[in-house]
Amino acid sequence: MTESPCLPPPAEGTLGGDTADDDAALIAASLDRPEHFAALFDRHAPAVHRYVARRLGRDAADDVTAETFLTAFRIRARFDADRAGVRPWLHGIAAKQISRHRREEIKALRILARTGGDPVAETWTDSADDRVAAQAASRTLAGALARLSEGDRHVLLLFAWADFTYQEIAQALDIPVGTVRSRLNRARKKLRAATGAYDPLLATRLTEGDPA
Amino acid sequence: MTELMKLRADAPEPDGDRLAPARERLTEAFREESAGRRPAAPAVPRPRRRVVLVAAAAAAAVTGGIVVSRLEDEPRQDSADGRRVLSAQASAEALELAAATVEKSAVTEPRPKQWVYEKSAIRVGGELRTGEEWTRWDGTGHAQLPGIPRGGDISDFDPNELQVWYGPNQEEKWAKEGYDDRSQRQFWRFLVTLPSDPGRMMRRIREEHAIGDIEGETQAQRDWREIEVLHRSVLIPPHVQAGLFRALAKIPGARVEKGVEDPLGRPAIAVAVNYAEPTPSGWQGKQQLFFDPRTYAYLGAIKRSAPPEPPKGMTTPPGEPAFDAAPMIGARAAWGVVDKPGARP
Repeated sequence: MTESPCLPPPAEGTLGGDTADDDAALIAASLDRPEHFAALFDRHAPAVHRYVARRLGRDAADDVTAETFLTAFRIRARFDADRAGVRPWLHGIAAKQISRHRREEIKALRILARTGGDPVAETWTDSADDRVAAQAASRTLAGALARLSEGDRHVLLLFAWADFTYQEIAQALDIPVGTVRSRLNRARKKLRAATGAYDPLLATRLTEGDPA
Repeated sequence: MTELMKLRADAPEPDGDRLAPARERLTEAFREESAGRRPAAPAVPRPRRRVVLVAAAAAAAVTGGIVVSRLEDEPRQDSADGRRVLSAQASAEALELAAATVEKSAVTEPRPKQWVYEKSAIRVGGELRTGEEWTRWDGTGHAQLPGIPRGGDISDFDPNELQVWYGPNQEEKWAKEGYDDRSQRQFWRFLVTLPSDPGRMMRRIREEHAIGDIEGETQAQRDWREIEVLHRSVLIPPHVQAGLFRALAKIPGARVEKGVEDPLGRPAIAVAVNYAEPTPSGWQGKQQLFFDPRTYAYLGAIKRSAPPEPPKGMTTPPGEPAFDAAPMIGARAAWGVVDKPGARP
């Protein structure tokens, strides 16, 4: 109990702020009272689930989210607030889980590229009628995404879909910021070569996200 | 919006019902771990700022293996007058007296189906909050108050309803799945094998690697951390309790403070070390362990962390204390051994 920071028991209401400090405090508190970890789940699971669903579909996201938080709970004593925030830490664990579904992810992207039907998006669209056949640009993009290396895809999609900064991506994947930068540049070049389009918004975010 | 950002941008956020099975699996893991609670927490993550808590402790008396709490009506003592820090020699003598006292206590091993009860109290922003836990000796059960809300619809959730969890053969299950969780029974059985000699006892404890190494830590810092963590175990064999007091006496700079009060103002003695510089495990300043002044039962601890480094790229204006490091205070309010979850000693 002596690690327990100033946290009300989960049953007695929600925590005050929403800061990284609170997250780290929750993890410290959960070392003695595991139930404090439930607040981390409530805070972060929706975003993790949505991100994973966007990559693998909702059903796989159910499993990956559950495994991510179970793993995080098991290894929480090794969490180092100096090295990473909780959100990058959780997404780093999720990335390892996503990598286990690499084949399915690539297969779905290839189907999207080939047919315009997206097996991943179909997991949240109720009927075939709701499905909008993908634009040609999306199909080309999906093909290019499928051809990226797993590491490059993690970096690019954490950046574009999870709104991570370079620093956060580096923390999540435990790689230097310079590697994040070079992977993003490489991935962007490949997408550009495939789609033939310059992406002004992505380019802007690439500049904004780079602290260097 | 770019093509990449548009791709699957309609992916929905899951609702509570969708996340409920994952949350349930997680809370199941809480219960399993609580039932097989490792008294040793691994290396402490470096504390961040505003990791604050004030907890309450209550004095308790050991009688025949069952610890009876005397939570209420403990007379207060004016610490302003009575408080004194003993010299190194007097501290060693006081700790030897503590060791000799606990050595004679009759703590015996509970039966497999008995439950260890522990009530901890924490003060959050001036408000006292308590939690109660029951852990079955063989690791197959855990109960708590207040309960943890399950995911999904929580409209009928009652935090005052005792939540009891059972899981068969936990000790075998943890071993099979490769976890180093231990039931309280398994931990006790490790403790009874320890030699009485404090030096050899601490060496065996360090070799057990329950809390992990931290690079650069001195043996004295490591021993303090081990002793603090070991005291979280509610039941400790008498010869080990005694050994821990004698090991405290060997830690350079450890001093006994008499006539102090624990965070609730109850009379206590404290054993303290003071780290002028941050330790490799992130502690700095005065670290205290509190014990009942008569029975020497463990009451709680106050730990102070080093002020955290500002995040990269963030600077503090000169002369402005941007980061505080408030103490982390934990305490054991009451405890004992009971025959069923929900029962109190």
